[in-house]
Amino acid sequence: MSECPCRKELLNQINEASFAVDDVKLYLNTHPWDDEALVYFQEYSRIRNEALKEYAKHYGPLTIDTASLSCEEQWDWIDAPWPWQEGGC
Amino acid sequence: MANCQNPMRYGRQTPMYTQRSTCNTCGSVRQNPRPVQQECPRPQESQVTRPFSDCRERIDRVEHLPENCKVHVHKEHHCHCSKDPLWEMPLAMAYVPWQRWQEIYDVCDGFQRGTIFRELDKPFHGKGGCNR
Repeated sequence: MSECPCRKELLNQINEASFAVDDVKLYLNTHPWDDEALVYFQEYSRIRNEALKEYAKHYGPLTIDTASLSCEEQWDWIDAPWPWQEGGC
Repeated sequence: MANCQNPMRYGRQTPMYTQRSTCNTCGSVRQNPRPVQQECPRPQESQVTRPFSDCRERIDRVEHLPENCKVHVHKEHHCHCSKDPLWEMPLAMAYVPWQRWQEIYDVCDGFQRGTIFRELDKPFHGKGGCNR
């Protein structure tokens, strides 16, 4: 079994990558043919998705897209702490 | 009494020169003349050849002149008009420079600063129109 990654670090990585994806998304709305921005978007979109999957495997899903990674045996979508609870976001 | 209120109380005020007046003697109606504008003084020769960097100082020195004279003096000097990229663009329009993909923050810094674009990182300091 792989070593469990630090939850806080994973969350931080997800937050940073999510923000970068959101910001470059705004730029691409007005610059749809900017190659460098497209490469940036693809890179951080991939990093974000991998981090979300990694998080879901160890700590439960953050988004419904990754729910299947941690809910194979039973539905644990509501088991993780909510964002306003200790241990949440 | 309510019917004695000034009917123009909430109305738009019109400039004096657009209002008409009636002569008390003959009863004829005439329109008030437009105010005579102050004639612009001619700029001195020494001012005409001054470089662009002194433009602000020059404008400050003609601050006491009426607005239309300032424009006149400004044009006479050929100062920043030729260096202003928006010169001769239609007035009352907003222009936003086209952003380029450059000076991108690391994702860590971008998340902290609230933008991945260094050029758009303009914290509000509560005064002025620029990032100090």
